[in-house]
Amino acid sequence: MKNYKNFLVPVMVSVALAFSYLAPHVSKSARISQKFPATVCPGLTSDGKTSIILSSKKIGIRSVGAKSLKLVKKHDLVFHTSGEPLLVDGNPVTSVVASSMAGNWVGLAECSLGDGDQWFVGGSATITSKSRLDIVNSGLSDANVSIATYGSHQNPVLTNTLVKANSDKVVSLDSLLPGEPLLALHVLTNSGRVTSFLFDQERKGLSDLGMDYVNSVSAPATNVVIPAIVNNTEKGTSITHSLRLLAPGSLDASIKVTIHGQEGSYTPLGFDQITLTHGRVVQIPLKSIMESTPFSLEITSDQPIVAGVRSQYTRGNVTDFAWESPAPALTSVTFNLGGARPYFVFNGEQIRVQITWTSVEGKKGSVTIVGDQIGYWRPSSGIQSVTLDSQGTTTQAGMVFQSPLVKNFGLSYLPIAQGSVIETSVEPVVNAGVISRG
Amino acid sequence: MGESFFVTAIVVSHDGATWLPDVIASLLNQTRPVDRIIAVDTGSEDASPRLLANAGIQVLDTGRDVGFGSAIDQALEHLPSVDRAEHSEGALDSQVEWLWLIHDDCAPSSDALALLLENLHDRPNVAIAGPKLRGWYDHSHLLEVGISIASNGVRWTGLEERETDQGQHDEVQEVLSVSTAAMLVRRSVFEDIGGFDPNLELFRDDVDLGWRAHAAGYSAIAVGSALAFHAEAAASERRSVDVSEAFLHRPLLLDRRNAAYVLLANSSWWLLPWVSIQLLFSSLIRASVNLLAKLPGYAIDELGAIILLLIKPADLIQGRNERRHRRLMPAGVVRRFIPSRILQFRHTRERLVSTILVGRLSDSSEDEFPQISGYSNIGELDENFDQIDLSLSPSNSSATLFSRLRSHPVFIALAFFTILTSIASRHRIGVLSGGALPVSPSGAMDALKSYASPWHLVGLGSSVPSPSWLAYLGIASIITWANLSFFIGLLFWIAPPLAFFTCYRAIKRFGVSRPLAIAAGTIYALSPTLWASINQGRLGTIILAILAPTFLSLLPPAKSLGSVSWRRIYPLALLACAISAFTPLFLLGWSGFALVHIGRLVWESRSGAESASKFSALVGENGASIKRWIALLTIPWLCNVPWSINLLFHPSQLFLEPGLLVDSGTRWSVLLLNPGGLTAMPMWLVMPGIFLLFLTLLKRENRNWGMTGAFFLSCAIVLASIHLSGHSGTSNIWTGSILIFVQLCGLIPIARSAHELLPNLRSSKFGLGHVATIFVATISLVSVVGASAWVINEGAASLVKSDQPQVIPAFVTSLADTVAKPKSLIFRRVNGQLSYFVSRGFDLGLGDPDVSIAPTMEIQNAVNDLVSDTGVTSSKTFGEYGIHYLYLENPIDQNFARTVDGIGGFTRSSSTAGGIVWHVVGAAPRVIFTSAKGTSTGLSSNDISANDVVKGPGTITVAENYDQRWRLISAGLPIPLRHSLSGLPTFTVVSAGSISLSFDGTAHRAWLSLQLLSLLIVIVLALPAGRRRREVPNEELT
Repeated sequence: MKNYKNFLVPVMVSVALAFSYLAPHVSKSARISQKFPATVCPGLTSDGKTSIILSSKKIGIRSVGAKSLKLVKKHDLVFHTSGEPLLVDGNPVTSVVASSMAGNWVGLAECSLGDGDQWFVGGSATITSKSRLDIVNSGLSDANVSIATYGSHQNPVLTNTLVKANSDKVVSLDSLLPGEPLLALHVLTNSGRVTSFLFDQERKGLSDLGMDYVNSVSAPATNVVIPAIVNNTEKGTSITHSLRLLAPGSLDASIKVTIHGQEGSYTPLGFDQITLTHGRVVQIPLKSIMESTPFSLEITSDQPIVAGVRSQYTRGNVTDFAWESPAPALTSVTFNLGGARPYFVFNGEQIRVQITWTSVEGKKGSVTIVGDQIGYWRPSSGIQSVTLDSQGTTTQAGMVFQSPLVKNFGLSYLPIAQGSVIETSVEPVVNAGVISRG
Repeated sequence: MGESFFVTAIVVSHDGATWLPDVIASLLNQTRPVDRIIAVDTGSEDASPRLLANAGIQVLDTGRDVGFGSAIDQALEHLPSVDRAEHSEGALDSQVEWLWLIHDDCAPSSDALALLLENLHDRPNVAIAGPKLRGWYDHSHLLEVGISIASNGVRWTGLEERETDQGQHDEVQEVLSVSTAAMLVRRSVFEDIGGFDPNLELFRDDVDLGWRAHAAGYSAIAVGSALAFHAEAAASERRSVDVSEAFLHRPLLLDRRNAAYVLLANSSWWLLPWVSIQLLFSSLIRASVNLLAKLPGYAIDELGAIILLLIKPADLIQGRNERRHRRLMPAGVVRRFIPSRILQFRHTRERLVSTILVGRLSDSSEDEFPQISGYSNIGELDENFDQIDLSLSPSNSSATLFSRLRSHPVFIALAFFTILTSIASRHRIGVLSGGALPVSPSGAMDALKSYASPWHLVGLGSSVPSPSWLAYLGIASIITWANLSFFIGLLFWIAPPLAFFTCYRAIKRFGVSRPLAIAAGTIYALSPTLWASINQGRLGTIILAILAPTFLSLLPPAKSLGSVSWRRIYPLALLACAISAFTPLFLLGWSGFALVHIGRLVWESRSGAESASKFSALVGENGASIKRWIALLTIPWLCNVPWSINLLFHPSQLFLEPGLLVDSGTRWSVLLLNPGGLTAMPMWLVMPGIFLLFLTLLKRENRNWGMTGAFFLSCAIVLASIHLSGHSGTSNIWTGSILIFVQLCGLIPIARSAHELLPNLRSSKFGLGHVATIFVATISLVSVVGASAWVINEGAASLVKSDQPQVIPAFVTSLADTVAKPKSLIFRRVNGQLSYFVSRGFDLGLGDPDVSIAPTMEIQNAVNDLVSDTGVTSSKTFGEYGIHYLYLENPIDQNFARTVDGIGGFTRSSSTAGGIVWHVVGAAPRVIFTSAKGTSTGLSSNDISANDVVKGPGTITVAENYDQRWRLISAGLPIPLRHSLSGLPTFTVVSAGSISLSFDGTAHRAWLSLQLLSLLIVIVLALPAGRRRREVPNEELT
């Protein structure tokens, strides 16, 4: 072609334009970071055995209070502590702490971060009580914490305490409100990275009467659901339940209690309208329970309340108790069962929960639990980890647990909630222009 | 009755056969005859003795190594004195013998003796007289009218360089001395003062004789009316210098040595130290100048002269002793003849200019491209430059100033751009910063120190070599008295008129008429690229815009490179080196261009050669071209080490401009030759550049320009869509530097074509040419007007502003000098995104972004964890790296502030309108010693090094980026370097004692030395060469 160079130029430019559109290039878009914050596990049983059940052997943990801040991988799924609180590296799976004592009693708690505002309904400050509150400061600054202690006969007692950086402080409940049998605590973090755990233990002389962790809720609510009340009995055993309530506001509350169980939903006699004096802790025995299996309890109130159920289990002269506390709405939670076979109880108007599990051999399986108001599931043996995904309406879930470490019974309850919520943030970018004028 | 003169002429010959016939003839034909003549031949190897003998002159033969003074002495031994004084009839009748010393290359005019003697009658105190000396070959060239000596030893005539005799020195004047070439000296005085100093065999014996005559109470005169014509054969190296004193027969060495001897032997004793210092200093300067002029022999002569004198002090001591005995007047009696320093300086300057001019003229014969004169023509008037551009014609002196200015549109254009840039720069008066331009240090020394430092205090520390442009800017700021910030402000202001001017000159070199060159320069100086660069603070592109037109105009056609002189190649390579320093993309393109040509030439050579050896290409037909291309390729790389070496290992840096990264335009704006970005010209303001580029395709001879421009444009389009990380930031690649060349690829050929086309258009029918011309002219006019309007309105609101407030809080800056040397982590929202960087307490300075590196992964992870509220140990990580403060600048991200408050490890120090400062709990000082027991102590530290004493074994950790060049000496022993758990440099000390921490800059200094040496060599090679005296044509010399 005579003047081919004339065409070469537009072709060159066109190719360049096309290349600039199609060729991959480094994008300047922001990067999203999703991380799970590190969670804190309690370690209150120096006179028992505490184990942490992890989801992976590669998760690093360290003791709160240790000089080294480095997270160390233990290369084991179950890690036994010597009673000090632990910091577990952020991961999507909720770690669980199981404390046991003398082979009979067991308590369960989730390792969590806490949002700085925790309500505990449980514990006592009587002569038999060994209850204690463990305030864990996992941050590197001193923390300032306020504790409001509610009792049955007096106004709440306010206590301020300072917890040093990277340490914990154990407060005996009988130092907060001595002699008070019915306690509820409000632990408010004014500054610092604080997670609190309430450990309720009763002992009479040399006899242990039971122990359990009292799980917390983040705020009073007008609709409180305790999704799983321990109710399994065997031959020669008995179980009683007591409902502890507090209306912490400035107004008295009027409440109604509804039981959801296999027999249906109903209000026990005398529980359709109960008035709670504000600021006073009340404990009401739960009678007329027709259930023989774990059930859910729903409390509706005209004022925000906090509540918990104490289930006392007796076999012969051995007793144990479990504190059941409300659970938040179930989203997606994964945790390691450690081979145990707890009862999962679900509560909600239209329950639809997808459960997937992985066995110790690595096999996977799934099931969908569907139900109205109540649903149950018990895993088969040999299941390692379980993921619960709620797909229906607002559903709460709880787990009634019998630890494989305990040879006798040893009951406990765990509300199903994520130990730590994924934190999504836009990663900041390195830019020297930050320190340039203009 | 009275005094009569008896004149004895003494001719000293030494291989003077070339000039002797004329000398003899002039002596024998004096109007006032010489009374007797004797000649002394100092071992001539030519026909000199025969010529003298044939003329009937008595000849004394001496050895070849006999000097002038000794020759005179030998002559006097053969000639008894004829002085007499007789009283006759009550009157004193005396006869005084005068010696007329004649060189064998000096021919006096016929009346010279008569005129000399005439002026002696009324001057009984005069002991020495001499004629005016003119050149042998150029009789109008005035050589000497008496001589003196400057305080630095230079032979002083008091005349201008190549002064022409127009009768301005025809009077009789008292002088220090006259040249022995035709010196008339009273014999009695001559003998009384000891004749010529035997230590001065040749050169400066005349000055010394005159000085001693003055010290003895006599005087010397130069008679301007008397003439002699002197060839200066010995001084101009026309014949060898064979005197015994002449070490290695080097005349300059002997001359300088003798000059120093004359000064030191005759000066007052208390002036000797000062005279010695002046001699030494001036020798060093002259040696340096000779080295620059590529005359190493002369340089050695300058220094050797002083050394020769110093190693034989006995001569000097003996000379001083003899003078002390004969002196009647103090040595300062000749002070009035010694030129002042101002006169010396002026003379030196004129000689330097003259030397350069003459040096340029000597190379002009190598010029193969007469229509393109390069900047190697320093001092020469550029014939294309057209002196009438800058001078108002004296013939139109009656015309008004306006009409005279109108006839010199360059002035108008320059004035226009000066006014334009002044209005546009109304927010840029002061210390500039903003956009890509960090704030500059006030002093050039700060920039040079930063350049020379192997470790940079930016972020967590960096050992990346500083870019060469930092040093070049520092040196260039000498013109603003080393005030770098003022220089940069000036550069931003003067860039448009300067770009116009260089483009105008460059286009004129292509033979384009003045109006068209002005039009092209105007379009160029109003280009979106230049103004985007100014507004965005793109220093590199501004410099490129100024230098690129010159570079393109100096670039010879590739096919003819082999015939271009090396003295044109080196300046071109230097220019490429300077441009490369400011625009790494140019270095990449230029290297590619050179490699392509080298490859092509090697291929052509090897395919043509029958038995091609490895290096046959270098000696073959294309060898000269290949060598020149190799020089053009390697010199920019070599003269920019170590920064250029760093580019080889980090090639992405080749695409980054100096300074911070600032986003620029998209492919569509680049297509319209607008690099885009904030504060750039709007896309709709289309400049004619793209149209000109496509117009080049219409004419065959312009097509290569068009293809080249289109290729560059295509590259720019592709690059503009690529985002790169670097200089601690991310943005798309700035293509302004490429667009500069695209514009020139359109402007130059079209201007040339228009120059050829326009005259034809006037006489031809209306056609396509007319249409294209009208179209281009209209587009150009509209765009120029539009661009000008934009520049003075919106264009003034640039990212670069003056006196912008400091970013770092003042109290953080005040802590920067403490022993702990705390760092601060600064957070700020930039373009809506939370961004951060580590500061040492100061804002980012000029050159800092180019050497900064991103923080370590530990810090980045700690920051990410902090922001995501999962960073339990973030404060500990920051503390280990010596970060003592967190600063969150307004506008405050409240969520982030809450996170920092709550996560632990940070304590709020202050909260002001500027932002919030947190103190990092437990932050470590810059250098920390941790004992074996675990206790930590901060050690005193400078910016880089540290010296202190430790009280026992332990570890020393340095809160800087890890680099294997960190060194620690403890108790005199080097300690091995390790990584700490956090990745910091750490050393384990085993015993108590003093420690010394440093950063090993040996390799860096070696690279800098190589750079300096390379630059000096290339500069010397690029400078005009000096000539040896023997190389100077006779006509030019005398």
